[in-house]
Amino acid sequence: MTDAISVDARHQRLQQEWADPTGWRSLAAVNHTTIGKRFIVTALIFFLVGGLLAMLIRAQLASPGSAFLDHDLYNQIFTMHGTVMMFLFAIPMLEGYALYLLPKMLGSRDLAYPRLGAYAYWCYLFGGTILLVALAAGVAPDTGWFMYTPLSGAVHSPGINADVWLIGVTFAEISAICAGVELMATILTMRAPGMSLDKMPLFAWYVLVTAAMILIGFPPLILGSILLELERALGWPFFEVARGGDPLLWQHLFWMFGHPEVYIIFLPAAGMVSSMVPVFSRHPIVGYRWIVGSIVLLAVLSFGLWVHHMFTVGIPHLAQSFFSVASMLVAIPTAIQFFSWIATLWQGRPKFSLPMLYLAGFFFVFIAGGLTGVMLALVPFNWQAHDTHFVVAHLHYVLVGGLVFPLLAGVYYWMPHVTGKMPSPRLGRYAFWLVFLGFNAAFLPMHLTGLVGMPRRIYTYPEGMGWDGLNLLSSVGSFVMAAGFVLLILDVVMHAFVGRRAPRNPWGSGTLEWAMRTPAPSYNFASLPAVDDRDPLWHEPDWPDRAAAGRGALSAHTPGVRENLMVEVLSGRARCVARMPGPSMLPFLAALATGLFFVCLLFKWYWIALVGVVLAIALFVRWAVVGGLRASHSFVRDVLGVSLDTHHARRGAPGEWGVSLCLLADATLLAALFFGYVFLWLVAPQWPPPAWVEIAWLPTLTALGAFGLALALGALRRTRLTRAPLASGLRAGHEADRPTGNGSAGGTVNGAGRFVLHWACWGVALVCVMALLMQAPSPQVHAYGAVTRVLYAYVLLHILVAALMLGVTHWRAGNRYFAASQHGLDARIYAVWARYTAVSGVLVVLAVVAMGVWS
Amino acid sequence: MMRTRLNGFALMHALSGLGVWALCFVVLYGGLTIGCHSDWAQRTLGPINAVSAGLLLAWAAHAVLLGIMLWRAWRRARHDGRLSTLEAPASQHDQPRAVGQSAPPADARDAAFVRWLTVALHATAFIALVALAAPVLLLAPCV
Repeated sequence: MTDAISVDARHQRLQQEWADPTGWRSLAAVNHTTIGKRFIVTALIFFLVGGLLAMLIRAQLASPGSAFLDHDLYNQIFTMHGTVMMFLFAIPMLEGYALYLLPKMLGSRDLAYPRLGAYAYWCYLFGGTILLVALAAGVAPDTGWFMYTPLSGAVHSPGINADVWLIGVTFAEISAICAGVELMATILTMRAPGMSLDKMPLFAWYVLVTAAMILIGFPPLILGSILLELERALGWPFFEVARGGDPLLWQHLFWMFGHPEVYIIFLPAAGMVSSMVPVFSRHPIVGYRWIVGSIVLLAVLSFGLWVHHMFTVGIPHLAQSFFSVASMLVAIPTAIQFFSWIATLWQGRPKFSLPMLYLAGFFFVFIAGGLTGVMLALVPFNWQAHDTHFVVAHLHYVLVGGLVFPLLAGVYYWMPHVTGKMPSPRLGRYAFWLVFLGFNAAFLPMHLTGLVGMPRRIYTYPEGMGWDGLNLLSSVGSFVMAAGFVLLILDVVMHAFVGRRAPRNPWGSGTLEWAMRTPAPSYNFASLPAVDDRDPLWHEPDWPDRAAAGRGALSAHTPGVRENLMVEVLSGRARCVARMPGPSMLPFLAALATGLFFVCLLFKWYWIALVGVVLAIALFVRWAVVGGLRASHSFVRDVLGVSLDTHHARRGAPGEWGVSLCLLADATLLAALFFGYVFLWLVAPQWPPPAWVEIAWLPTLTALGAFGLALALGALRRTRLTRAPLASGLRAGHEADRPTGNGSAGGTVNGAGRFVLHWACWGVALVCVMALLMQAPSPQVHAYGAVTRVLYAYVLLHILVAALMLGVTHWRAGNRYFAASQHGLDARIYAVWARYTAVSGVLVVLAVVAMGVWS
Repeated sequence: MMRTRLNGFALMHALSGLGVWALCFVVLYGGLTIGCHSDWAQRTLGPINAVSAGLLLAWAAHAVLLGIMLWRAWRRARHDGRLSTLEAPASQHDQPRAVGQSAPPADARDAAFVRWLTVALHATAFIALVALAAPVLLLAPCV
């Protein structure tokens, strides 16, 4: 359906509809363009802080016996350099790019969960702020960015420093998980009609795989942080050998996250490369399918590498060799991508524009880092080079090569999209050569300093070790590189004022982010024409005009309503219309409440922390309560000649995707907890514990029965639990809310009965699991008791959330906050959580019983 | 020829081969740890110690499973005539297409893509699985 209005009038209408509020109300902004830019700018600020810390490190190491920094301060500085760069710059920067670009590339108007994106940003900002304030106050973390125990335990690090890391980083990781859910659901379900998976831009594939890796890779570290904080704050021994713990458990949990993290950083950057190489080669990417296959392969293999960071800790050679094999295999999918890029350049007609210069830097630096990575994957070499500056050089070649150079290429490539101005080719080139030469001068000699024996993390060194000249060269190089970054930032800022106006699609790209005016409008596309090719702008050059003229899906505009299109995962066929939420202060306030909780934990103000929890829950509940529609409408839309419902009426709504993806991360955390349970049992020296759990069969069997019943009851979507409240309290003017077509009295009784049964299930399960938790051995005496209690606490938490979700669903139904058609959605979302809670509850109870019986 | 229209679960199927590799990896690493913890390395099973024998058996079970999965995926793709692009990897997408020239039918293209991905991922998972066997054959456990 096409309105008979001009392109400009349509633009004005939609711009007004999708624009974020201004002034102090901009705290309520949720639009992906705004949130993406906020992520990018904040990450840039953290990058500058991290860079400043790096310069302090190099100033200290420039000469032997330097007294520029003392060892305490140096420890804080190198720890914060790594922490800031990895957690507060690299991942958030890439998330920012993805949040900004993906809907535009996919032909979508926004991300699947705009408010979740806003919440992710505020969590990131507040978590990062905790770390920076600690640095300013001189109590920053000082035990290295991977926080090895026992050094980071309460005995050796009694101050608040380690707590700052555990709490600040965990807070920021909530942001990453939220972004992972957001990106994955968006890519799978919100694209232009006809954009099947094999027509998606490669950047979307890269981000899809990365988002999945975030959901699987981050929970082990979150779990490790929780356990270490429990050990530090409450004395529960998970990593303390004398009481049944094992410091190696921390290393396992950290590197289960830490190695995939490298690829979590590399993959989106490689996605940028795959976006730019075809454009500047003026040829479609060669081997699209091979690249997709190699991304997936690389992601899976990357979870089998973590022990290659632990080759020197005494693990059997055979076990090491499994990880060594996987470490070498992972080079193959990486190489496939490189060959594909080279083949694209070979077959095309490359033009050496400014972004290509940075891509050339990427090729050189990252390949060098990859080769030293293969060297380090070999166990005998690893033993020699472990914990030396060789490793520092390798990781910087990988991260700067694999992340920073593609990122800088991306800055120049997408700069006109953000500002509508073209960059200066001259300043950009100067900046490149300063960064490139400075980087190699800084880190190439570091391979040698490492090979001649200089350990990493030492704050000074004596004369005559043969390290002096190399270190001086490294320091000079790092300052040259810093000058390059200053020039680059100057260029970026200046071009916004004096750059020439960018034409539409200035690089001649084939992807949809360039099918709009620049700077990008808030709504992205006035309508969504069908896509029939991987490079739509090359093969359908009139696509932008058709979109702007309203000759595509969702051209009709309902005032006060933001609509987006949902498609089938595989085929990209239009399947329903999603109604998107608008600006809200709830994400900001919820992040503040979450921050209150974390800050109170940091200072051990546990009672006030509870206030934060209650506030956060209240805000989340309000978020859920007001999230739905309040009146019934005829929601059917005509989309390219097909009548589509809104998302509430269809399975696979964003809410279901969201909770399912959250549970993917949740299940990974539980799997990591089980790993820790078995690891301590098999490997920790001080086992068996003084006493095993005494199986209390009554609560055990009753809990199993309650979980089984919860599973058997099935989804509430099959019940009619809203009928009784609606029938008794229907207000005038809301007749359309009344469920129709199945109003038998039997249904009412049935639905109400099953509803009560759900409450009963959770009530019984709660009491039984609580009883089991109380009966478990003391958590302060031995790690066995501590892990057992954590397992039960995990189940308890899930039961409480299930009850909360049930309560919200019940309340919303009773107060007619949603239309009959939407009713099923609330219940379906609850059902996903309820099923997971029941299954995980059964697994935990059986695991505890099994270990008790076995032993 | 009857062609099945694929849905999102086909993606899960495409990943299942790598899932078998991951499972085998966990079983080998976990089995080795449990075996060494239980002193099974002191016992022998035929010419080799019990831990290595157990690991090889576990590996073989995964290899057979993955081999069957690969064969079935290959056969299904051949049956559907969807491996044409595997045999000629430069797909239509990789060739410049004139403005206005229509793309191949959507259903066939979706299915071809996923079938190809399934076979390719299963095959690479099988290669990765074979690579895991070498250390078990060459190295003594628990040292």
